[in-house]
Amino acid sequence: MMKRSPILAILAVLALVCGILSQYTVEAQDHKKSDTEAAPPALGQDWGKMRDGLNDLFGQLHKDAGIKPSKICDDDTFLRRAYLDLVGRPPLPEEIEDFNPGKKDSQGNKGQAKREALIDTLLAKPDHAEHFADWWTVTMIGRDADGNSRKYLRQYLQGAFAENKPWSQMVYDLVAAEGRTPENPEVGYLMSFQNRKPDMAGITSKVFLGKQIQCAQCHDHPYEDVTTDDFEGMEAFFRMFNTGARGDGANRYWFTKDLPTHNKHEVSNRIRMQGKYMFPTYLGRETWEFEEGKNLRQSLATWMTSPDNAWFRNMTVNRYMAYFLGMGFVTPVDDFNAMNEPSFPVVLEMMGKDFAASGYDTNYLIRAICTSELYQREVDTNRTNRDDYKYYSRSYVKRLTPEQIQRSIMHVVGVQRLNEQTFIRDVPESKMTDDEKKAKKINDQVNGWKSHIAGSMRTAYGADPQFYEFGDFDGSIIQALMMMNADLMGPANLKNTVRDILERKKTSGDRIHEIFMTVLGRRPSKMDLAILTGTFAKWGGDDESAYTDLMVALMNTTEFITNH
Amino acid sequence: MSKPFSLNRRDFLRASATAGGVIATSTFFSHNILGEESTVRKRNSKINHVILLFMEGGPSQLETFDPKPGKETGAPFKVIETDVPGFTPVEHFSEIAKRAGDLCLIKSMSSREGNHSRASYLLRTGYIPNPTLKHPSLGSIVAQQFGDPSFDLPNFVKLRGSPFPAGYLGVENNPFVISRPGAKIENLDYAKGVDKERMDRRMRLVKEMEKDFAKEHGDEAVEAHKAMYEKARKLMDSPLRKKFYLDDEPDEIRKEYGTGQFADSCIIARRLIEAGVPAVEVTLGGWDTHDDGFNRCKNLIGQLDKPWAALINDLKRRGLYDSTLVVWMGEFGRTPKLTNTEGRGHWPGNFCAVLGGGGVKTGQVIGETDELGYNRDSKNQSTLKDPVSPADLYKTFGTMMDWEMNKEFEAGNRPVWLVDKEAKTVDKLYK
Repeated sequence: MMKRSPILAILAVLALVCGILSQYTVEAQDHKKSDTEAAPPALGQDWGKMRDGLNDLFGQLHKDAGIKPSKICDDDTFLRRAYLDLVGRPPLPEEIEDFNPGKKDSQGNKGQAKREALIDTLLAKPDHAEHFADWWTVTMIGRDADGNSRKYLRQYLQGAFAENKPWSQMVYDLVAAEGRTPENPEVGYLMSFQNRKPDMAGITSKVFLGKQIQCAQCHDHPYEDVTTDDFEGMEAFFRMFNTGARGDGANRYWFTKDLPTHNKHEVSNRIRMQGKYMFPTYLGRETWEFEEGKNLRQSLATWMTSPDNAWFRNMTVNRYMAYFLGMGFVTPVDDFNAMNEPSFPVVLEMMGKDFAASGYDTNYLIRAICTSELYQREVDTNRTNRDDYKYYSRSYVKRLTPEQIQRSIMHVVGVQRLNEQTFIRDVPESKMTDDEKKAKKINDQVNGWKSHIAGSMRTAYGADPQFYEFGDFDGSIIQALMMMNADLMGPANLKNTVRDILERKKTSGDRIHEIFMTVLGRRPSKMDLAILTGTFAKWGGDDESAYTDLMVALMNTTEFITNH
Repeated sequence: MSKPFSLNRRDFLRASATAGGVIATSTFFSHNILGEESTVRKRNSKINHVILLFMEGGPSQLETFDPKPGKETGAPFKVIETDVPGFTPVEHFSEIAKRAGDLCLIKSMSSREGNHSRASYLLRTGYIPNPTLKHPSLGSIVAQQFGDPSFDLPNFVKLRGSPFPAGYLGVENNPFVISRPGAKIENLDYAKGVDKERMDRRMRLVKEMEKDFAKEHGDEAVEAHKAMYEKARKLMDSPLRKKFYLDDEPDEIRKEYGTGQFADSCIIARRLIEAGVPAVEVTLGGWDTHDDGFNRCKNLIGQLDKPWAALINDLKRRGLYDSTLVVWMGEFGRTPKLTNTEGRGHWPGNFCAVLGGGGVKTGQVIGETDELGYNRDSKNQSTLKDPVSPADLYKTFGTMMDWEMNKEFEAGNRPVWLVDKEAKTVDKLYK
């Protein structure tokens, strides 16, 4: 495929894409025209159509490009992949049993139906909302933002993902946030900028619209038609409000406050008084018009999330493609510009419209992507697709984010499970039942471990989410030192997990099996078992220290810190 | 497909890996694995080390190196006259005053950033912060430009302070942060109940277990992972790791530096430089003197003066001062006008930086402030003489150390340069 003329290849691909998609579109529109009540699904009605579209389209593209795609991965691989992506940790041994890799699951599903059911199960888990709130908090404001902003933003996002709020509504809530904490945790997003209006404009455009206008703050964009005026026009939307804080200690709260907006003239005067002469202007040169009862940020949020805004929907689709498949249509994921065309513009456009029509339902998008063949390919490649970084004919090894690694470690040392079982009433300790006291003790320990892990991770990672969007577990020695030597990895901390396994499982084979399930979320291969038999023999037996060392060794593998 | 800067495949992989999280190829240790940059570049400069003494909080120029004795804006401190005209620090700098001939004082550092985090970013990188791009700090640039990736010790060590990532230069140039200099470094020792032998057996098992994964998922991710662990193990077991600690430092030397965390850090900095570490940053915080500035500055200078002077002496004695650039600075200065609590606000308009060592034309003062230190004429125009912006300072560093200032680095897929293209070299600063 690499030998063909690139231009011919691109033309061929475009023709093909247009052909297939227009068929898909025409079909959808025809259905719309028919007036019958029971009209078959149109755009935004059936995520299965999006998935089938992706499968058919890329199937055709592979044929045309002479690529033989990698095989569909086995159940074990799919299970761990989906758990890490959707809930941020590997599956628990009982969750693996429930899915029953290679056979029917507990509901009697198998094959594709079983995998679809798994995605549904994962989307409904409380830790899915938590994990996505982590991911998006880091994406929006980074790990460096102050703790309170992160706390409130994360709280808002967790609630919103838990109820599957439309993405357009979420972004509207954040950009036009009103009120105060703790009632309105959505102010966390704007709070984080500490009233730096240029950053508000820059980050809001980059994260939600994929338009990197910040460099135009100082000079016209070197290779795109974005000027300083464009930047200041966007920034002006944030000039009629401020965030603030009042109160001390536990009573401290944060709020947003807008100056009243009565007419265009007033806005223009106020902005001029601040020494800024640029009138609020939507990116792309539409100027703001006064809307009764709406402040500037509300107008901006309405424009951003409107169905006409292709940047908004395409950015979202691209980010989810990149998140799940390791590669979006546009790379870097949030840098859409004239010199950085999407690899498949028509597909992106199509998916964007479908997503918008679904009511900006991110679960719709996730279901389509995660049940498609694109997501289910093996990482293993063949001669024809080894160099494919475009056609989604194989899966890529993805680094885990610090948050995913943190969750994975907590999960191995048993914190995750303990946490879920604990329910304690909000009463003084003297009034607690014995069970509650016991649970509280565990809970305190859990919180201690949690902050220990978070603390080590912070030192280990530094913080640079804005650029290394997916975190970077790649090269800082401090990270390796932590994974090898942190107290948490010491025999003392792993003792309980290891002893628990030794008590429950009696044969060497069962114990190894359980440790693999716990750490890597998969069964040991024949090869693994052969290696371990030899190793344990060399070590002079399989006592507690041998299983502890096996556990630590597995946690220090590439496999543990990657999704594949 | 005409792009202003076209990406070749390797670049594309690197870009997609940094932005998209794919481990497509070895983007981990780009230096040693891609091979091309593994040899350390020959530079036309005799500076091989940099020590940055960073004063967090914004040290007052009026209580340090630009005092206005007897004036309404001045502090009630005497000043010390030195052999160098204009180099007249406050009385508490009795040791540093003796070293005036080994230093170059810039009184006219000037910027527009009066917010701590933004100004610290500017002074550490030479660029104003940009939320869509992360610039490397001085130490990371030096580590990337002079560092040998196969060296036992990290190429950039930071003694106290927050981790400041190397941004587009890659994590291999991140600072190795020691939060309590001299004390046991976290996670550098084997965990309780684990010795070298046990760690070896764990790591041998890791290697065995990785084989299968490497076969199925590509060697590159595994190789990179291995390289990271090898570097970490090398550091754990290296005889050079004693350079992080003070145990074998002779008493008379320790006495010369004095006591306190900053003094200890300065000794460690020298030990690391001597061992071959290219970049060390030492942080001294507490300079944000909104109240009680006279006492607090006096106290801070008490922690600073002796160790700093001892560092210069020590480096000279060992023949390292000519190859080590030592920089003293903070993020901004402080308002000439005093508050009614003897404090001062933030003032980026003019502040001091002091340079010494390799390549610096010492025994001189650059820039001058006016009688009261406001430096404004009747039309509110700046009268500051020879202003030096942080970007200019970095351009000068780059010139002195022969950095690859014309090389186009990549951040995502946009071109970036180590030093701001618009900046100007301060010619009279260096030899």
